[in-house]
Amino acid sequence: MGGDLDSFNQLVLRWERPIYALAYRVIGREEDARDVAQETFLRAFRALSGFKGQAKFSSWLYRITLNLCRDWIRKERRTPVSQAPEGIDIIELAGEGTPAESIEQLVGRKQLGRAVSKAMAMLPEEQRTAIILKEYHGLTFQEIADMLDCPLSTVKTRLYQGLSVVRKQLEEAGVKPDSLGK
Amino acid sequence: MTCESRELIVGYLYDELTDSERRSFDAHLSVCDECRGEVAGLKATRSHLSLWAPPEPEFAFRIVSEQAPDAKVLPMRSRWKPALGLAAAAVLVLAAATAIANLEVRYDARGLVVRTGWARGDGATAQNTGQDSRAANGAIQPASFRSEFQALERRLRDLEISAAARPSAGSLQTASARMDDAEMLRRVRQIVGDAESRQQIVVAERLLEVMRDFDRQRQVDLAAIERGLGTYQGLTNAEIAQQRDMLNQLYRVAARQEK
Repeated sequence: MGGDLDSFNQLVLRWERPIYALAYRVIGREEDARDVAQETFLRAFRALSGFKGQAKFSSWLYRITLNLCRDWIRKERRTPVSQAPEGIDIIELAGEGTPAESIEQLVGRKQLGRAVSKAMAMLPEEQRTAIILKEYHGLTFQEIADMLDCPLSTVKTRLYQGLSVVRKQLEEAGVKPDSLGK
Repeated sequence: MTCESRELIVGYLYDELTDSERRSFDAHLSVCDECRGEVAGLKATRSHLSLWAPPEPEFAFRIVSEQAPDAKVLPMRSRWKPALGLAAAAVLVLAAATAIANLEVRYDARGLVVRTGWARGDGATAQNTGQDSRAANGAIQPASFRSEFQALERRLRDLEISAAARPSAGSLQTASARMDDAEMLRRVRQIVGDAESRQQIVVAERLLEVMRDFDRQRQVDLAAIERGLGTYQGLTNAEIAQQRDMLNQLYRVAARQEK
């Protein structure tokens, strides 16, 4: 049992960031996302004997996380909020950028990130989840469909609708399509 | 509204079309401004999405042990329930009492000043009012802790009264059980009082130690500073004297040369 515990904790080390990132983007709250991530690993550990390898371990973890997020949203009866802080700490920001970036570029990037966060918070849960799983976790359409127990066409429709809403929100917030200079 | 299906557009965006589908869509984009604009807009949106990153938390959780799945909880015998309930309440009271402590440390022109939450001291503005009072800077004055201790006393008294007033519950409740409750409360009160005294003594001893060390170190530092200043002064005087001698020598040489 000690060896199993060590092995599982290795898995925790490997997956804690992606699981936390998923929870944070779905529910938008830092502390609650950490709680959800912790609960995900606890549940996974308890149910480990029932995992027969019929799906990828990551998909299995993601499913637990999404179920917990859904429970959280229903229990709290609120929509996720964008938790980006209002102010920008220039000193802190300077440590994050690349040497080639000016402070103006760094600030612009931060503000853009905040605008994206706000736009994503406006999406219905299913559209936001589909975008998060596709954009940030690299799942295929089929994997997302399997995880969310919905048809492939539904996943694609949700992605299209979600991206369109985010695009419109960013345009209304004054974000230009070429604002990243690409 | 674009002329191609949403599913095709999304598939193209995420590169999940078959080869033939992609070739066909590429050919369509070359002649359709609307679809081309739609694809470009959604591609830009995807780029913007890449800027949305979660904060970096501190991860510290690990699975450390697993509880036995069939652990049993022993049932409580009913006649002990009142005593355990009172004991739990008394433990909470004790915990609250030991948590009440305040330490103010200040070093100013008057030297090192230390005050505990239970001590009368300079600047105490509330005198046995039992009410919280706050200084201009918002710090809670010592009298508030006295009022909290008084609240603890009242709570203990209430527990004692309720224990004495409780009618016998069931046939097994006896006079000796009621006495046990009262005795327990008396002991808890004793423990609270002893804990407070011990805490005060320990804190006072430690503070005295700190103050003695501080003063000792301050004397040592002052002496070192004075020695340093004296040495510096000595050096300066010697240098001045040396320079004066040199100047005098030069003056004498210059005077002889003039002659």
